[in-house]
Amino acid sequence: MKKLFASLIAVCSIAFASTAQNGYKIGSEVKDFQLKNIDGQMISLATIPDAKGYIVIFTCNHCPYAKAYEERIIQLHLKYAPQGFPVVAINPNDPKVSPEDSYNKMQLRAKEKGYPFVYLYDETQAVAKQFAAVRTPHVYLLQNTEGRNTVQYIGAIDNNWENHMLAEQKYVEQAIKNLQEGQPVTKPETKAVGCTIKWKE
Amino acid sequence: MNIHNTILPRMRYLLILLCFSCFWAKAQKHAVADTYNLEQFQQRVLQDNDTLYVVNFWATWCGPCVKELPHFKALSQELNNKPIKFIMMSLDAQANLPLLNDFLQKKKVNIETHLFAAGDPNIWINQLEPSWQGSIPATFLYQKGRKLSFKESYFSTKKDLKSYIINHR
Repeated sequence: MKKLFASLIAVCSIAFASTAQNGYKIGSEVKDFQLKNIDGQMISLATIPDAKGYIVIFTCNHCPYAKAYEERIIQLHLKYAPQGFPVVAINPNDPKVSPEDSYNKMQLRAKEKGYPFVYLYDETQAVAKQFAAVRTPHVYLLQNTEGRNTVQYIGAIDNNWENHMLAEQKYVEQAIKNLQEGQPVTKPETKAVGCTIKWKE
Repeated sequence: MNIHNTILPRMRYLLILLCFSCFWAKAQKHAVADTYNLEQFQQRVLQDNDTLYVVNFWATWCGPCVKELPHFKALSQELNNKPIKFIMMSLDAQANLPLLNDFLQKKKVNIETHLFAAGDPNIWINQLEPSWQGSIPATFLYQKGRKLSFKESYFSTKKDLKSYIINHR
């Protein structure tokens, strides 16, 4: 009986661990989604033409880390969209918790800064949950192999949020370079500090 | 010469001055932050004694962090005479140390505070806690030179914070 109880506990804790670690891992195939862009259009990964992959970035307006990386996100898109890796920026925050991150404010911010990439509103937060994103900015680099999108890199843009000049490791650029050379990504996962995603209360 | 006419009035004046300065000091009481690297941090919290270190990673610009700060303030006062030490580790930009100190003064934060300048986050986050995704607020408990617990979310009440500490010590 004691043994049964112990194994029951073990099963429970395993189940717990797996729910806590839900979401995409390196190599996971990504289910396409449809979200509203700042221009009102519904966008899915498949609607973006000629993509060899996507730099999916969960980001937002209000977070100082996201702001610090804003210019770098623009530069990533300008450099890599022509090479087939466009930025797909997604704001997952609940505007009730973070009013700066409302759809209207997203439109304003994108206009002010001239975002060259799509900036999508994850109103139900389903996509952020699907990816298991936890903070902004949080990058998922996807590779498109004949319509199958797999996760190749999860983490930060580089290793110095305060000053891009001092960033010795440009993780996303390095990962794209690896993919372009047909190699596995050398550093597939990195950590960074960021703002928590503001989940609906 | 009469002692009542000369020394006592002066002493009275001194006494009033002393009382006033005490009140003034009390009203002004707030922590002053300095900068800590990873090694300094570990030396501070990984001490081989019975003190429980409650360490909160936060930043002045982080909404939920600032929201839970009053719980930390209140509880640190409430548990003042217990072997519990509260430490606030700020992840504000290094250049913003003066802003951090302004904030501590304005909000009358009297908890030991350091600005954490530990270099590459991909290294120190994993070193402190491999399961930490890097979002703040995050709270750690340390005692007897080891980590007891870690939580990557915020406390909505003082009661929540208190039961977290009691349940994990």
